[in-house]
Amino acid sequence: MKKTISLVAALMMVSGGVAAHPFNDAFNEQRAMYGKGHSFTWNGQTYLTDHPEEVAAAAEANATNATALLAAAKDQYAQVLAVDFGWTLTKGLLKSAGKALEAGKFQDSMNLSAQAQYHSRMGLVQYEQSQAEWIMAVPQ
Amino acid sequence: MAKGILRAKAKAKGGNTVVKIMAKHAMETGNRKDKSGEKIPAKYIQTLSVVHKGKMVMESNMGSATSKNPYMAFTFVGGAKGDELQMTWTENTGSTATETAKIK
Amino acid sequence: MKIIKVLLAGVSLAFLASTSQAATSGKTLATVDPEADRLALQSHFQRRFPQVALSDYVNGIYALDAPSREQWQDIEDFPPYEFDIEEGEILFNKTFANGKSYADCFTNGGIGVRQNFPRWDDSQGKIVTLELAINQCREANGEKALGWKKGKIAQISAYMAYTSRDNVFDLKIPNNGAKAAYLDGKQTFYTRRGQLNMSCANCHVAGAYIKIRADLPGPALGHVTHFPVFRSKWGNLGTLQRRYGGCQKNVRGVPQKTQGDKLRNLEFFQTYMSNGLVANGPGARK
Repeated sequence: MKKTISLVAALMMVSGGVAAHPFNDAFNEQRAMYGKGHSFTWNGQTYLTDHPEEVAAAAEANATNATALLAAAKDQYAQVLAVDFGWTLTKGLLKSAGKALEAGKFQDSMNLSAQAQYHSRMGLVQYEQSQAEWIMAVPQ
Repeated sequence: MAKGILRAKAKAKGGNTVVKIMAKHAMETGNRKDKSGEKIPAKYIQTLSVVHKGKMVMESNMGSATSKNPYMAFTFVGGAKGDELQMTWTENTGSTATETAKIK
Repeated sequence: MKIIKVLLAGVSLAFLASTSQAATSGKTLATVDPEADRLALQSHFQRRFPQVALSDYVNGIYALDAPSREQWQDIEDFPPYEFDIEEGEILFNKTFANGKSYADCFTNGGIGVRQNFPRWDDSQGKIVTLELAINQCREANGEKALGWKKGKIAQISAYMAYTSRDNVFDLKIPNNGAKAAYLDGKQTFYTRRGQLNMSCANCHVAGAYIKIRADLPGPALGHVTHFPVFRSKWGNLGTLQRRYGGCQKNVRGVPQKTQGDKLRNLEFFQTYMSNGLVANGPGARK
């Protein structure tokens, strides 16, 4: 499980720029066809169609994990805001995750934190990709 | 001379006159609240009527449902360049005034 | 297994580096050519809409779409911004507590100067928009700054725009500082952002006059000449910076700071693209 997560995370972080990343393509295709938690092979390795955030949210639903996930999600949100690429719905998700945590609904909280963190991670990917790609839209 | 609250444009064409009027008025319903939570008093135009050569050519009952800076346009038969129109408005507060416009 | 993982990461990085060299022209300070950009944007629209005169682009979507043009012309008969111009004139002529007025801060007493903004201010090292100049004038004379998006600042801006109608925009890029600001604005314009992953260009260059839900986006050429704008949706007058915030929220992106560096540079880029066209503010739009 751990090895799968680290490779997924590493390759997703590296994806940036013009080249379509082969692993991302395979991942997205498999997830579109089979949904979450589906097992597939790529280049001889086995992977799951789960985002790193979803894997983290699948951990035991308790106060410790929920608090840690919310903190991580808030931290990632601060990072993406710092580069001006925040998404508008993220703040609401973090707020709901906090409320769920207070109400003792740990699994709900972890799911919402996972969603919020996904938003922020995607915003950062968006930021990185835009550096190389924006020029392509300019009429010549 | 102090400007009234009505801005009017009237144009005679082919035996008719087209009139366009915009009133500068907040049209407060009396239900809105200000920053301190107090209701802003109702202040809105109740009627607007237009008279040409002693004859009423348009009468409208506005009221609190009409929105800010009401605009209306209408056509009446008759009227010629240089004629004067008397436009009278009344407010729920009792205020009233008559303003004039010339047909072009 | 570990070796393969590292190799994969390395290969993809190298691939990334080589392909990003391909389109660098116009994206660095050394290669950017604002005049070429402006002419390229004009020919883009002229190719798409051969019947539309360049000068008509100041009317936005109404230059391209006949039915909405008709409705807009009816509205212009009795423009909803008329009262704002009157209010703006009163505010503009009112003296500050110290006896000075806006006329003391602008060339020609602030009359007929809209087409000079935004401008690069070397001493401040930044782009100054008309609204920024208005607020800097206030603060230099002991008055509180006005809100950036609507109300009094929009009315003063409307009056100043009205006195400048038919003056031609001819923004200058005098040095590398200004050029860098232009480039920064250009990048913002073409960068996808927000959860909907869209750039200004998506709707206003490629997507101009193509239905997005129930609306037709206006062309980027001549986009900003008519501001401040009475937008029917707002029911009142607002500044360009106000609209930027709304647009960025529309693509579900947290908006960039109003009158911050990024949005001022964006306004500079957009106005430079409209060089050669006339100022026609304030305007009325849906």
